Amino acid sequence: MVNVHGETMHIEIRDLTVKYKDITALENIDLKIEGPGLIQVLGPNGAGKSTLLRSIAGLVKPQKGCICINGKDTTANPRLAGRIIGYVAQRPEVSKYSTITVRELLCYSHMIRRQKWPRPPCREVPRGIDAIIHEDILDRRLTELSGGQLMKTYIARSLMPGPGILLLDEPLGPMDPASKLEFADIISMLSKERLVLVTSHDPIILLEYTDKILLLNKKVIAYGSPREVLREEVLSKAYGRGFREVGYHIHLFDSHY
Amino acid sequence: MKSSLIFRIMIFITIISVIISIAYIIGNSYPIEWFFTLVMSSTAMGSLSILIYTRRLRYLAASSPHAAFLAAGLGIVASVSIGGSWFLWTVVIGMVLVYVAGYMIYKGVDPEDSASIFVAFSSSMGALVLYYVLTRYSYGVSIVSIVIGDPLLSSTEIIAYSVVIGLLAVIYVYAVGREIIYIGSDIDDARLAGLKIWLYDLSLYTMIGLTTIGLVKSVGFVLEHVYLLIPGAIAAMVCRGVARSITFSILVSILSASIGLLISISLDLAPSAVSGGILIILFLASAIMKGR
Repeated sequence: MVNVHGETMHIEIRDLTVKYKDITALENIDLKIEGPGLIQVLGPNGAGKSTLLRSIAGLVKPQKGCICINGKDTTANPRLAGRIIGYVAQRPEVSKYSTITVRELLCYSHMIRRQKWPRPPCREVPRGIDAIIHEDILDRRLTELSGGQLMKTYIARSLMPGPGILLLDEPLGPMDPASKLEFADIISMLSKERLVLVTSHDPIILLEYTDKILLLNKKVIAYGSPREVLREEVLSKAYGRGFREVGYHIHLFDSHY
Repeated sequence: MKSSLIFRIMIFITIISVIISIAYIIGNSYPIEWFFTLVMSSTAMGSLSILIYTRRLRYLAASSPHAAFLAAGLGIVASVSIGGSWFLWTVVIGMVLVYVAGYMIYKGVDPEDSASIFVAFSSSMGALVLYYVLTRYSYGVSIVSIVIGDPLLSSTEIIAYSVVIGLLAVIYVYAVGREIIYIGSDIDDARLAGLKIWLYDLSLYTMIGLTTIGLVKSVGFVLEHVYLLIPGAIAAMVCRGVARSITFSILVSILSASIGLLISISLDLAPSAVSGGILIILFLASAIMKGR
């Protein structure tokens, strides 16, 4: 599958098992994901959503199995995966003593990807981020941003290398309701030309833009269109009794916060 | 007050203080080496300070002077019983200790836990070794300077080391500071960008170790904590932006050392302690100004 620029966006996961010491995070995952489009990754706490995204980014070394992105084996190889994907962690942590500004974060992200040494200075913010963050926050320190602004900054940063695949770990978590709606539009825009995987505890906000839903609980419970996955008999396999259908709405009882 | 205005005022005050301090030392026929030893020692630690905060290595930085304390004691024992330079023994033993502490953090041991264990070990062992040295060798003056520091008694070896390590630290911070600060701000993306995190961490551990251990006699292990941690904390309160905060941290270090030396010579006080006191005053002034 290719986007309008002719770039392929294809993730293939084969027999992936990830353990943290004795705890199994993911077990025997077999999956093929193609883009462009928006994929929501759902599942209860501890289902392995974040681990799956980190594994795709090459940041986790699995016990067994492999991950191929666009036909290249990127298993536990962040350097190679980083050429194709952008990744934003769940609630990025910034030291309260950090003085780095939004402009510097974006510039440095661009600068450190240059292989020349010494790396040239980067003073201008690369183009194409104005749709995500406002110019008036560029000279603010990261420590001065709200949770939503910080998440938008990190998403703008993840777009710096021009990735065909974007992995966003609970991007809507730290945002207020108005920002969530605004941000849903941004994710929709990004997913038109990219393959975007978003983990979430609230599938409704992004539902109208979602192409497929991946339901996880250490294993793949279901992968298909929202209509196929958001059904009581499917959801109950991952959440047990931890959800309610109220009219057309589904409430998942799996608070992270 | 705007941070850019504070920055300009700081540059001006620092230049004036350096000129007055040098003029006073030369005018009163004191050795100019005193100035270079204290100012370059302070500069070395102040330039690393911002990186320590951003990379969350405060615990390692706080442990490192304790490693220097133990290494200095063991250095005396080794140089007397095996031979060779005390200074070289101290640096070699101290670096091994710092790498052990750094490796614990790198392997995922909680920094607070590793620092607690490390500080407890190095302090008790250091006291044990120095007691042994005091009761068996005539090293009284050296041990006093290891604890409270005395740049005025520094040997040619230590003076040269202070100048070299001060310049090296400044070059290091401006050469790789951006990468280290980026790692501290977004370690996952740094990995995706292909940065070798272990290499940058190792280089920072090495610089922290070389600075604290090599300068233990001129600054003293007690005040090394202040020199390492306070300039970065002041810059973090006052500045916006990486380049500016690094420069501000260095300026604060130079200012405190040059004024500290001037006052200590005039009033016959301990130079490291006076400089440390000035850092504390600047820290409190910054905190009050920022309403913290």
